Amino acid sequence: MRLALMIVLFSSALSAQPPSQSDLIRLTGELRSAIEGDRLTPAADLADKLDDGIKAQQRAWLIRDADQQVEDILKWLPVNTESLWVNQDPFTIKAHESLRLLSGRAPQLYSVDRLSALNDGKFYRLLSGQTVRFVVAATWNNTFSQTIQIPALAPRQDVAYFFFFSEPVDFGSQDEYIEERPVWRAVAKILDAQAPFRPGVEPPQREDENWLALAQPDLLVLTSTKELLAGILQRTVHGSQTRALPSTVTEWNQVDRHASFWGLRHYTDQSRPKPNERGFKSATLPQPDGGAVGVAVNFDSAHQRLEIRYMSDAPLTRTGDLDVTRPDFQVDQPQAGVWRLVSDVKARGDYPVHFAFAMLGFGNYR
Amino acid sequence: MTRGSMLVLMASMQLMAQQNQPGELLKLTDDVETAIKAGDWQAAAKQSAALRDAVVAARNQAMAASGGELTDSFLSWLPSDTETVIVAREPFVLSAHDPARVPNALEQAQGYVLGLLGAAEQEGLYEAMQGGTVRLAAFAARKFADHPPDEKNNFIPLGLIAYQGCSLYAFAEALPESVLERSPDEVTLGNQVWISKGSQNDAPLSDTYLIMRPRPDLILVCNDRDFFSQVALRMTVPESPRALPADLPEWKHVDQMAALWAIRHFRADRADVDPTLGQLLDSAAPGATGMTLRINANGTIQARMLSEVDPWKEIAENDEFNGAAKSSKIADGVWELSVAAKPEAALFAVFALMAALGLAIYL
Repeated sequence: MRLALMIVLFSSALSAQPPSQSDLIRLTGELRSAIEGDRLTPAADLADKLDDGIKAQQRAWLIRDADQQVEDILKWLPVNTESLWVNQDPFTIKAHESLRLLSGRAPQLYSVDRLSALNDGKFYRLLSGQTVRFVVAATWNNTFSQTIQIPALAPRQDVAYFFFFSEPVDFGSQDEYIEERPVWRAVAKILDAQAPFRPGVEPPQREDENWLALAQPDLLVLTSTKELLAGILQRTVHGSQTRALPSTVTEWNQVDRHASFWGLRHYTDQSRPKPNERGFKSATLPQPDGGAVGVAVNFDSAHQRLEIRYMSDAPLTRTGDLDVTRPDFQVDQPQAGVWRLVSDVKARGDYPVHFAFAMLGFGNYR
Repeated sequence: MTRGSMLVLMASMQLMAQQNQPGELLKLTDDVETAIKAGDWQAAAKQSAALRDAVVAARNQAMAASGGELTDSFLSWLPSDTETVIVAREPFVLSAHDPARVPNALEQAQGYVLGLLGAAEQEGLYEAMQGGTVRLAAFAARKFADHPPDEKNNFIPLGLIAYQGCSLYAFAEALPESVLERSPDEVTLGNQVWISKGSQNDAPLSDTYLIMRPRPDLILVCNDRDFFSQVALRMTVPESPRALPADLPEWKHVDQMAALWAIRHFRADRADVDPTLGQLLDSAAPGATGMTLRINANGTIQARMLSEVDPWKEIAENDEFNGAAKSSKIADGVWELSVAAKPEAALFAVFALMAALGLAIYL
C-alpha cells in the first residue's frame, strides 16, 4: 500500500511538471526502435507522447520569466488597482478563426476579445500567427453592480492588458509617441454595459476608445484611456516606487502562481454593496457582500479544474434562483473567512470560468 | 485528366511515399533529438509536430491495406434493407473529450460512428478502450424515425433520433479481455453476446445494446436485436441480396479511399415516418434517390445527392457555414455540396450532413 501511494504521489508530481530533457531523449530512443522494428502503431503512440512532452517543455520555456514580469507590471500599475489576472497558457493568434471557437478556452477568449475587436480586427489580423507567451490584465475604479449576468458584459472601468509575444510585433506606422514608445488609438463598437437592463432587448451599442503601445518590441500594452497608457509608459521607462496589490494583501496567500491561469481581486468600498443595498449581509455571487475582502482564482487548464476562493465572513445566498453557484460548484469553507468554490470545467463547460471572470470584475467585451 | 493534374498527383504520391519511408522518419527523429539536446524548444516543438504527423501517416498507410477487405465483408453482412453506411477509414485513437480542442470535420464525423460504442455498457466499453487505436470503424443503419413521445409530457426526446443499426470497430491490436470483464449474457451462433441498456438521447436507458467480439481485434455493437441477428447470421452464412447492391448509382460517387465516406439510398416509402427524409423529399429535393459523403483528412467535405433539382441550395447559404459551402451541379441529376476546411463551418456541416444520412439530432 505504501509503495502504491508513493507511485501515485510520484505520478502526481510528474504530471505537474514537463518531462525532463533526459526523459524526452529516452522517448526518442524508444520511438527510433519502434520505427526500425516497423511497429508503427506503438510508434505513433510514442510520437504523440513525445510531442506532448516537448510542447510542455516549450510552454515552460515560453513563460520562464512570467513571474518576474508580473512583479514589474505590479510596479507599473496604479496603486489603486483592484484586480489582476495572469493567463500563462501560451497560445497562437489565429485571426481568421471566429472567437466562438474559443469555447472551452475561456481564459484565451478573455485575453483577446478586446484586442480582436479594435478597428474591426485590424490589429488582431496583424498579429495572426504570433505566439502570445502570457497575458496580464488588471482593472481598477470598479463599481458595484447588482446585475447578475454570466458571462458578464465588460463594465465601464479602467483596464490594462499586457501581451508578451515570442517575437517582436510590427503594427506599421504609429499614430504618435509617448515616452518614445509607438502608440495607436483604436476603437470598437461594443454593447453598453451601463445601459438600463430590459428583458429580451439587447443593450445599445457605443463606440469605445482604447489605446495601444509597444512598451518593448515584444510587449504590447492595451489600455482603456490614453492617460492610463501614458502613466504606465512613464513608470515603465522611468521606474516606480509604488506597487499595486502589495504583498500584504491577504488574497496573495490564496493564489497559486504556478496555475495556468490565476488572478486576484481586492474589493474597495466602491465595488461592494452599501448597507442599504441588496447583498450587503449575504453574498449573492458573483457579486460580493458588504464586508467581503477579496477573491482569488486558480484554473488548471490541463485538468480543467477551477477553484475560486471568496474571502468573506458573510454567508452565501444559497436559496432558489439566487444561488447562482448551483450546480456548477462544490462549495465549502477550508478555513474561517474563506469560501472555496471548485468546479470540474470539463464536465460543466465554460460557465464556471465566466463566473470566475465576473468575480474578478471582467466581462465579455462584445 | 490533364497532364498538369497528373503531374501534381504523381508528385503528391511520391511525397507520401517518401514521408512513409523509415529512413525519413528516423531522420526526423534525429532532428527532434538534436533540438531537445540543444534545448531549442521552439524548433523541437515544430519538428516533433511534423514527426508525429509523419509517423501517424505511415501507420495509417500501413493499416489502410486491410481496410478495404474488411469493409467489403461488413457490407456483405448487412441486412438487405440497410439504408445508410458510414465508414471511417482513417485510423484514429480513442481519447477522452478535450473541451479545449476544436475538432475538425473528420473528428466530428468519427464521433457519430463511435456513437454505439459510446452508449453500450453504460459508456463503460468506450471508457475501457481509451487509448486504443481504431484502424477502421463502420456504421450501418435503417428505419430512421422519431422516438415515440414520452408518456408523461408527450415530448419527443432530445438527442439522436431512433434507428436500427450496428457498428463494427476494428482495432490495431487484439483487445484485452478486460474491456468486457463481466460474463456474457447469451451465446448467439457460437459468439458470446453482452447486452446492456443505454441511450443516445435524453431518455436514459431507453435502448438495448448488443455487443459481440467476432475476433479479438473486432467489436460489433448494435442497438436492435433483429439487425444484430441478421448480421451475426450473415457473418456465418453468406446471404443475398446484399445491402446497397453494387449497381446502385450512388456507388459511382463514393470514394472508398477517403478518410471517411458514406452512402445512403433513400427509401421514399419511409418518408412519412422518417423525419430526415420527409422534408427533403417533400420540398428540398423531390425525387432524390440517394446521397454520398466524403470527408478528407484535412477537413474538407464533399456531399453529393442524386436529384433533379439542387438539394443543397438553401443549406449552402446558411450563415452557419460562414461562406465556406458551395453547391454545384457536377453532372445531370448530380449535385455536390463542397465545404472548405474551416473550423467554424465544420460543426454545422457535419451536423447537417449526418442528419441527411439519417442521423439527425434534436437540440
